[in-house]
Amino acid sequence: MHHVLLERWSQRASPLHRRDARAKILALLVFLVVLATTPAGAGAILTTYAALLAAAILIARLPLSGIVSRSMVVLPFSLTFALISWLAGEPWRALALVEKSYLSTVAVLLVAGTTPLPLLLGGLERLGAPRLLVLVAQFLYRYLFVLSEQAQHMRLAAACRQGGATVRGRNGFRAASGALAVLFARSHERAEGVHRAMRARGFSGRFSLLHSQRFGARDGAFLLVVSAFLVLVRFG
Amino acid sequence: MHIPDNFLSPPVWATLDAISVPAVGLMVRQAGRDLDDARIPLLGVMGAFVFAAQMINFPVGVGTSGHLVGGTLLACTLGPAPAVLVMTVIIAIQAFVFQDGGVLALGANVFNMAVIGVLAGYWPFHVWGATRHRAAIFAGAFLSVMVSGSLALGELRMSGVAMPRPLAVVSLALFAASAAIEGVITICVIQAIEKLNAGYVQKPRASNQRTLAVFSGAAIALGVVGFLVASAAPDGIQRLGIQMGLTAKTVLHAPLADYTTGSFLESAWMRRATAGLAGLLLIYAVCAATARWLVRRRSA
Amino acid sequence: MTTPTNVPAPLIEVRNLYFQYGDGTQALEGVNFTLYPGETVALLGPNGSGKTTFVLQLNGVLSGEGSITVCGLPLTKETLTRVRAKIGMVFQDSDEQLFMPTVLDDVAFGPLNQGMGEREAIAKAKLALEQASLAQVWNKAPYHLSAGEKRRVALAGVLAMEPEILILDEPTTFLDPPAERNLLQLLRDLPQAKLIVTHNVRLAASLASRAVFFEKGKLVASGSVSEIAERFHWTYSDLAPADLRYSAQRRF
Repeated sequence: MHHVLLERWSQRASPLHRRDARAKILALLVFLVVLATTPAGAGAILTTYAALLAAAILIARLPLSGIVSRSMVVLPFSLTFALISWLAGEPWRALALVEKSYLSTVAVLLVAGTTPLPLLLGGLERLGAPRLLVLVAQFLYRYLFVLSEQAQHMRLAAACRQGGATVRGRNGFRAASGALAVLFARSHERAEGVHRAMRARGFSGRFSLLHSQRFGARDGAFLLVVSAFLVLVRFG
Repeated sequence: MHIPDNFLSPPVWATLDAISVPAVGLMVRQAGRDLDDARIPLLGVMGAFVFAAQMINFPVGVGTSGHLVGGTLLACTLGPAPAVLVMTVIIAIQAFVFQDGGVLALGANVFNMAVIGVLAGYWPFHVWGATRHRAAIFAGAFLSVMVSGSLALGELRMSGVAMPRPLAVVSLALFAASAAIEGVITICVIQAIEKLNAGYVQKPRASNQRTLAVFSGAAIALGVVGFLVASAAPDGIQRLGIQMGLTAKTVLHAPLADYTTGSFLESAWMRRATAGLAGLLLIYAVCAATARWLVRRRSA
Repeated sequence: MTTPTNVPAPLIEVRNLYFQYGDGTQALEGVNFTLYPGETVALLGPNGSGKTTFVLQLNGVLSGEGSITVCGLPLTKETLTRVRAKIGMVFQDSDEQLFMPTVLDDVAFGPLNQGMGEREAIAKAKLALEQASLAQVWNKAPYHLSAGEKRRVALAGVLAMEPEILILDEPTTFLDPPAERNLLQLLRDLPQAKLIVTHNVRLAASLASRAVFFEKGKLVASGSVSEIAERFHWTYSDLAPADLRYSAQRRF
């Protein structure tokens, strides 16, 4: 599954991995905004940005082919609209659509691939995201795989009983609804179990998180240099 | 529909980012009031449930299967504000972890699917859930998908993305089909859940949900207006803007080629986009203000 | 049984405990129980007999009628936090217990809730992980651990709070023999008094000095593990070892 791969990438070590999550998030935002405001047809600028991303991928010791291929998820959407734009007589816009949406995806993947999600969430919280939102995201991610596996097992078990083929029509529908309802109930019960476990270890409503990252001079320098570079390329 | 980055124009995504922040903030506060301190694990696990649920296939025809989107299901079981919260988190995780939807476009996607989509999905259930249970759920799920999809299309159109009439029509038809599927799936699953434990499903007509009822109604109104605005020709949006006196004096019908040359801040599409967005913003503000006024009147 | 003249004060004292579920079923009926310092007691009994329900009463997760005293504190709403600090409970479902993103986050959860500062909590957590021989997984996500590792991390999370009493609910479920051996070793070395809900009579026999038997919500017997096992036929096979030798030659 993709997020397992992403998790593995984010656990590696590299200068980029070591940067504070806040620095990376802010640098990402600068990149995305500057990219978004780059006019179509500014090929040189886009090529420079692509080169920057490629360099970053290498510094981060992430697999170039892996990132390139994973970023292609955005292509079906952008190619469709690009085709329409092309046919509507806007070839430059069509090209820009594909290039820019692809580069944005690479940039997001780069940040996600060098920052474990708990640290990313911590960074977002320090940047002002509501705590409840961040905590819910943390718990969601923790149980994402557990519940997905449960759903897989249910599918498998159902398929076994149906001789391998999927049941058509109303019976299939009813079976799927029943399966979802059971998954729902089990999830609810699991949430109650988690809450019990939290209370048993002294949880009283307030969450105290570990702030394991410090925004240091290197992080500030990183953010400054990247932002300056992006802005200069764009307007220079 | 998750909109990736670089499809929406800056005024569109910036405005929607700006709107989503207080909207979600409001829902976060409401969710904090609605639920006890068990809410963190509950909402987190339910969010994971939605992801897992999307893996279960519902046969809808020869060789095709649909799957649950989940906004209305969440609203009818957890309540509207918690559902908005969970859907927001889901969309954010989809953007960062699965690259499904953009980061600058988060505001737009959250607005369309997590805020308006969920509230529009809850409104019929709140109003008719006690009397016409199944119809209300279907209507909610249908509206939820339809409204989010229409808003997305409208935003794309407003951003100057080429959308000839046939494409728009086909897209809307596809949304309608997904909306219908969502409606049926949501009814079946909610009924199955009720059989297991009726306590899992919300009892509509609770008095403390009045604010949300009004907001939800406003959300649907907004969605409908947004849809109409979006499907109108770009000129119509501009005329709307002129009539509202919100556009600058030097409004011109410049061709879309303006976008590729010159400073983007002065091109016509920028003005058009601003006008349209300003219009939507105004409508939203009016609805929100009306809702608040109505609530204050009732509780006085 | 003769009672010694200088009996130490009980760690847990339960008198006349009654508890009903929301739907009216009587889950616990008139349960009396005492846990002394240094003891390890096994809770045996059929599924649904109230063993888990009983232990959940002890740290206030469920509250019934009757008196429960933990380390001299009567269990009330006001004393709940203090009581919970004295009891470390390892639940049956490790996935429910390890709810934080990394092992270190999870083991530090308890100490942080006890009001410790970040540095102190991390130090306590690392110490507890060392105790459980799991120092090397501190940065892993719980999902990537084996069942045995998860169980031991859960135990570490509880040990980090330095409780006086350990309660374990079915600790050997899903564990393969090596993992079970590891857990047994770890438990044997821990000085705290322990209450272990289990179906694993082997485990009970090697760890517990005493066992109690639950049946339909009532605590019906107390004695040594072998006494209870024999009295209630509480073994996996009711063939005596001698019979087992010939069973392979029997025709069914």
